[in-house]
Amino acid sequence: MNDSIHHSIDPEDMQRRRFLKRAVGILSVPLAAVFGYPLVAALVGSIYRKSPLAFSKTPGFTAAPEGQPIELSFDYVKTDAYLRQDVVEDVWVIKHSPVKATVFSPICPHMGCRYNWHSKMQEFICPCHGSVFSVTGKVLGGPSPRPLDTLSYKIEGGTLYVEWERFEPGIAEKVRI
Amino acid sequence: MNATDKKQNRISQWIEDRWPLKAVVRWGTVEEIPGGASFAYVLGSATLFLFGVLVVTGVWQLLYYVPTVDHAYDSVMFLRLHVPLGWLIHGLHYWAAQGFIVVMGLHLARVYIWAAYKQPRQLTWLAGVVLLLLGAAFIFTGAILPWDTLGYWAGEVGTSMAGTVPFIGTFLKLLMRGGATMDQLTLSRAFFVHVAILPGLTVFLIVVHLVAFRQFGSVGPWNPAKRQRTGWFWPDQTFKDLMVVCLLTVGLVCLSALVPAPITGPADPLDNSYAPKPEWNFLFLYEALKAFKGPWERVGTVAIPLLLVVLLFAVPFIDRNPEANPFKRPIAMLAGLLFVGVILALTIIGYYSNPGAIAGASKAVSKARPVLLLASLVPMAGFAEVSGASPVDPPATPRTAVEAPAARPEPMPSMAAADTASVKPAAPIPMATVLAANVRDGKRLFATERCNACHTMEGQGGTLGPNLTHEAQMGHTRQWLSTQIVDPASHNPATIMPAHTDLTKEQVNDLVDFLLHPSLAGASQPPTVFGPSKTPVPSTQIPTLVAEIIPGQPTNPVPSDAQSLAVGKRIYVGECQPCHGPTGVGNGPASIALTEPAANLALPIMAEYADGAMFEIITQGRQAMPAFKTLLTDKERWEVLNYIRTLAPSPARLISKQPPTIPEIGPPAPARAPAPASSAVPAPTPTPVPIPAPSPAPASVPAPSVTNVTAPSAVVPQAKLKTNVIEVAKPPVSAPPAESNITARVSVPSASVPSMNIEEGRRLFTSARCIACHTIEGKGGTLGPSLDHVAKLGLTREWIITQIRNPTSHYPTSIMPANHALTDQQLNALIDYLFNPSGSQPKRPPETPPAKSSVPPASAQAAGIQEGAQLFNSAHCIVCHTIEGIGGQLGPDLSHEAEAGRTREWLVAQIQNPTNHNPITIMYAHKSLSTQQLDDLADFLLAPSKGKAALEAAVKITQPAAAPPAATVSTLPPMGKQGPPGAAVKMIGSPPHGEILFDSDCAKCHGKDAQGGIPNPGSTSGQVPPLAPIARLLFSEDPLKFAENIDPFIQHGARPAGPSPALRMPAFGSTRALTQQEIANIEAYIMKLNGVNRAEIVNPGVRPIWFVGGTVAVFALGLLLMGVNWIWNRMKGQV
Repeated sequence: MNDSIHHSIDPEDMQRRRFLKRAVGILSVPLAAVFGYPLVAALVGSIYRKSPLAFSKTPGFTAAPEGQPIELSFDYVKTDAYLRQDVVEDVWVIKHSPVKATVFSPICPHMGCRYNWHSKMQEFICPCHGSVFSVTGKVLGGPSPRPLDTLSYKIEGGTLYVEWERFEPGIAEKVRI
Repeated sequence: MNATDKKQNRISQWIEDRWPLKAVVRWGTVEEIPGGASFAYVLGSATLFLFGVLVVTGVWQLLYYVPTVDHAYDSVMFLRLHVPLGWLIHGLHYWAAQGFIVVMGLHLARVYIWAAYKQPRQLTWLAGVVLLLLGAAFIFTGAILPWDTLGYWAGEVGTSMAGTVPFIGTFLKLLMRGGATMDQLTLSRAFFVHVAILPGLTVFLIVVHLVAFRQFGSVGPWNPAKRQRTGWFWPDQTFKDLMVVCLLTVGLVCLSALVPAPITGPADPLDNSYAPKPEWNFLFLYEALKAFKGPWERVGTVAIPLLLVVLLFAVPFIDRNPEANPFKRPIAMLAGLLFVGVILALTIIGYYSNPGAIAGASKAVSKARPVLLLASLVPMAGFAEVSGASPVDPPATPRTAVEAPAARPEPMPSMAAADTASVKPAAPIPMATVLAANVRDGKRLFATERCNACHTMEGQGGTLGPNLTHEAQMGHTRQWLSTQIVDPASHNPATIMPAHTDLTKEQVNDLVDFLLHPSLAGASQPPTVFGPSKTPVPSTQIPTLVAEIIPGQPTNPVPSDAQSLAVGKRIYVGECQPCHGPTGVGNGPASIALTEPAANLALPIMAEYADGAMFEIITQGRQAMPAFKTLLTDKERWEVLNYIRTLAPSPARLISKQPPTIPEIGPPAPARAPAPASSAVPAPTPTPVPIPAPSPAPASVPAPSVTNVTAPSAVVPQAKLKTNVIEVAKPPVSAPPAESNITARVSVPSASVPSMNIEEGRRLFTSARCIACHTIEGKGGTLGPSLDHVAKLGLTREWIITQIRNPTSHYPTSIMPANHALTDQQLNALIDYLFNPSGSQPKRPPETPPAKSSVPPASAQAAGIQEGAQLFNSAHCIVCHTIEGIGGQLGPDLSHEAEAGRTREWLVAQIQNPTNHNPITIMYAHKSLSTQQLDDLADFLLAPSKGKAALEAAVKITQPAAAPPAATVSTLPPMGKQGPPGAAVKMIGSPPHGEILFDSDCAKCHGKDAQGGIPNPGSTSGQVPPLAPIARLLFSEDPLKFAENIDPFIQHGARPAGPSPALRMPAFGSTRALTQQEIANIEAYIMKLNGVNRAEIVNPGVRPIWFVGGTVAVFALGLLLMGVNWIWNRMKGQV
């Protein structure tokens, strides 16, 4: 549309210019692709990163009573992108024998609150919305969509190691965040 | 088609009615180019394109980068290592920046040749020159942002150069740094300028540049005939521009993918193994600077750059001749050629020139550890004020210690030697005086080069390396010592001692002089005169001594009136009292932590010091005393001096009466207190102290029975121990518990601290390497103050936490490294331990059975020596230690243990449990030896010459007939990894440099090219494992995994499997024998030997080579389509 102001309207020239305009269009495509791909990848690709899992040594297991839930805490180094922080997390542990246990995430599967063990009633009760769980983690009442989340663990030489991870609250499936 | 066109028209018309779309597009595209489109004109567009790339990749990096000193490096590495194609974005930014400068330079040259700066295009030219300067500013500020070693030093040097600008230099430097030192505010400023100020200015000037360009158009060919033909910017020139842009893009992608942007490890101001090299853009300037020395430095740092800029600005005003044909502008062309030629030549010389700083070091050594260029700029720039004003001692900051040795571009006497020379009389100087001066300089170097961090000399220093007090008696020659300093690996390939290649020949000589004649340094060294606890020096000597250290003595301009004294006292209380005490006798609360006592300012002899001399000491500091040059103004320093004068009795008063008896409450310094008496009483069996201590007594007064355990030999002056009689030192003399005003301020009562915390603290004291510098419980280095009596200093917990995390906030000149790695909990445990070091004694086995503590009968001893000699061979001591000329060199020569003052007990303890003496030793504990065997060995070590024959015989018997058979495929030795991988894993190593390091540090054990085959008796495989091919379990095709597998061994060392391996892998990382970058280089080399490319480690997303392939492919496709388009166009045209 700018052609109108051009002096020469030589058909040969017009043809050449048409070719050049298309060529510019054609060359722009790989150029945009080469720069666009890494930009999009860097923006989008990193959102699906999962933090690596690791077993953390959880002291206090040896002395824990058998068959009774006990809240144990452990330190681990949380890697948040380029930040590494020492954090303390709690878990509920039910020791069955010196080599067997159940480890519950302390986070209620309903809305992510921290629940408590009520030893008189022998139930886990979440203070936020009243979800009630049995000692095995089964939902006894309240709005929780799924049983308590168990965490992977291993016991080596009498010491408990827990693999800390979090799960999506509010849904029936146990999905790792 | 028609419908779409109509729709488009409707949309454009709708916009046109509201915004001048057509006019803007016309302005951007329509331009008549005299002479037609040409590839000569693409440079401006290419520069604009590169700027665009820089903006986009820069903005993208902001998604991940944080400008804080503790996370900047990590965030850049996160981008490169974990963000898909983050490595490419970072690489594109780096290479586009390099290209930006190159293309801008070419554009400038093109414009100059075509005379496009002449009437009416002067402003276009000026805007262009400013854009060039902005480009340089971008490069400078951008380099600082990753806060890696390179960026840190580039910033340090650049800001120091600004500091040399006359009149406003200091202000400029402070402004650029945001303070006196390179720290967080410097980084914030660099970030602010790089991402906010400069881009804004650049965009503005680009608009100015383009508006002027569109207004006056292209100059076109200088030949008027060629100017008749015209062409169009759109699409003719645009197409040519785009072709070049595409080529540039392919080039950028190739460079970014195949030559990763350099990054040199987190900034470590204390790392003197690294000296940065200037970016190529500034090499010419660096080379030009070399020509100017002394007072002429500013010519190089300020005048030349200023001249270049002024010349560029002035071009259109100097050359006003309208002629455009370069062949008719010979002067302009010659001047331009000269300009370019000089810059190119200087750049090339700068690139290839070996830094003159290492003139003293041998070529071979400089090859092994390239000492880099930029450090040589620093003294010229940063210390111009100091060196120009008066020859004073360089301030004893670590920064200086790092820079000074590599400082001089040409062979020059060391700074210290120059100082001495400048104050010496011109008359002939006796040799002894010269030697003494050298020895003094050597002693100073021993401290500034931080030899004392590892080596003890005359009772002071670390214990990582051998004690050097008796080098002369050890029979080491001058040549041997020089080589040991510059290239220790040539004596002992497995040494962890760093090569001090940055020292000049003179400095090495001075150090050797000091090592061979240490006694000469003490005799006349000025600081020893200053100490309060020494014998007073006859007053007649003092002026000479002071004159020796202080060349020009200013006189006191501040009268000592009531007002000045009041101000002086206020300053004294705040700044001086902590060490010198309220009455000046040196008993301030902090003095207890000093290795050298604080000066006693109340001594009568103080009155003999000239005002000027005292003023200089306050200004420059000395030993532990900080320099107050920047902390106090001149007037304040004079005022505090006036007050200090009131502390010592004046000479007038001295005449009238005896000097008052001043209570000498000197620091107890138990670690060096001479043992008052020796006794032959066997050491009582230690009993662990129950914890918490039930008695309310201060924790630092240990029960005598316990102290005896830790006290032996190490505490006793070595001269006392030349006999084999067992000596038991008395417990260190602790301050009496009745020092009420001090003990009252103890923050934490010992009884309330759980013993677990103290145990944890004790462990941390070693693992966090506090022990390398600080002594506690009789162990540790002496670089820093002893920490045995922290509880008495009245320090709060918060103060200590700050001291650990940020020591310079308390002492700006502190060389203590900040430790951010400890958690609050760990810090608390550590402080609990510091407050109560003896609160929880670890259980230790009794070191020597009492029955063996007496001298055995002579005959039994003779037999023992023979047995010991054989054991020395069979227990593999001989592999590491030489004795009487036989043996290895990994450990120290043991031929002179008796002369070195070792006792039998010490030796036995060393063999059984070497970490007791030195927690970070690489010697391992020989626990399997029986008490009898240990005694025999000790007998032999104390009288090696008597057992030499037996040793020689034993060596001949057990000489292996042939090397053990080589293991065909090496397997992973079951040695425990002693710690996690270090930062080296994340770094991009350089295999060629790794090869050099490997040859000097690893090849002696792992064999040339890591082929292995070196025997290792006592290990399961019988030899040191080859690394090429490496054990299958360590190998991984993923370079990151590979690096993680091998890194712990290099970082923390390892013990091979087997009953008693003679050789084991020393720790290179945790001992800081190598920097993380050097370890990364070695790892890259080992990977290369195994066919793995370390560079691939940094490329999440798409492999670089695939991305290059993809880029080339899409552009090839583009070209193909263009060809089809051309053919189709031709055919259509014919139709």
